[in-house]
Amino acid sequence: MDSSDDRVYRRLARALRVGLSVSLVLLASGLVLALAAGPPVAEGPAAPLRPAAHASGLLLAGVAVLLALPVVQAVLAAFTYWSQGDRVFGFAAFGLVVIQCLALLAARL
Amino acid sequence: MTFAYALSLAAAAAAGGFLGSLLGLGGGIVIVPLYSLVFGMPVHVAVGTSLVAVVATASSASAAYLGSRVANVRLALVLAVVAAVGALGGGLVGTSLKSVFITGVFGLVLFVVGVLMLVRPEAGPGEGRSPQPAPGCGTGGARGSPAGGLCLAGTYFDPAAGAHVTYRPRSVPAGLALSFLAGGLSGLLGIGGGVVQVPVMNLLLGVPMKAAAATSSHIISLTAVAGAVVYLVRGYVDPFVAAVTIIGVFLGARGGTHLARVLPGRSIKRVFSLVLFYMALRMLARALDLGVLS
Repeated sequence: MDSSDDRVYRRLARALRVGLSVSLVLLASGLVLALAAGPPVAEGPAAPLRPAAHASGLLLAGVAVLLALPVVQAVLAAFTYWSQGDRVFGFAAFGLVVIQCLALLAARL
Repeated sequence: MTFAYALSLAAAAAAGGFLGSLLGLGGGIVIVPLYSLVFGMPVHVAVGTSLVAVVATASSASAAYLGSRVANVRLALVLAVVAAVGALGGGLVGTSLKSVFITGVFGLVLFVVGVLMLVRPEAGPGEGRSPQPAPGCGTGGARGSPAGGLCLAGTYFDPAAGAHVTYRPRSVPAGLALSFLAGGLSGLLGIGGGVVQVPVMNLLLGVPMKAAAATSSHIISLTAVAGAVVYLVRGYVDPFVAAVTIIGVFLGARGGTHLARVLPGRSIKRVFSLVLFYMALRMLARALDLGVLS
């Protein structure tokens, strides 16, 4: 029978691999579309690059999936530890989820 | 020039990802100075972009380390809670500070940690090697520890030593305080926090270097998002630059992770110290406006 740690290791590793793959596919697709759209409005190494509008959605989605991975990890850890009766680590993981979500609210202040 | 610019950004990011994954730094320690000094980006944009890339680097490294059981998930979880609070605070403060202050703190932190890593031996108390893995947390065999009843002991197989390594973290309360500092520096400087987490775990908590680097990557993969979100929401992250950086970092990190598995911990430590001293010199020179060095 698996230990709680074995399950956490396996679930987190799988979630990271899947999430990273999805994020990278979205980002790569967005980059290809942006580069295919032509040169940016402003030239120069310090100038911001402006991808085509249809590529922006893919790029933002890729970044969003990437930044969601830590939350998914913490939720998975909280659920796994809690379901195994390991309340201390389940609570710690849940606290981490709260802090991660709090960051989104605090950034808007 | 767009493609060439994107390619050069990706190359710089790949270098950062390689070193970040190999040393448990998270990549930002290379990306921030490169982007601000070489590519001319505003420091806050470099920090914000770096933090997003740090999530990618640390997640990539963490997936590999979790698969090989080198990272200590319980220790990571405990330290990540306070580090995330620090990262959030660091992000909020960092977006309000002038770049000179951020650069100076960057250089000082790197120099101090580099000295500590070079002069202090790798911690050994509580660490053992055996052909078979010892019972770990979650298996019912190692409940109770010096860390106030929490089971934080770890065990992993070290291919370089050809044996299983077991250890029990000590001085966890002090580690918690310094993890908060590591998180704060992460949000402030965009460096992930490994520059503090790795030596703290190695020297203070007595975690073997390889496990410290792996656990640090896992902590960063959980906490850097708190600072990254602040920079993203406040407009310091360009999605296109972030995408190029993430892909470059991801590719570089894969190479670093594979190399970290076969290199002995002592070699990792030496490289780690050299990288810290070099970056400290560059950052301090920039903060003091020494044009020749910066």
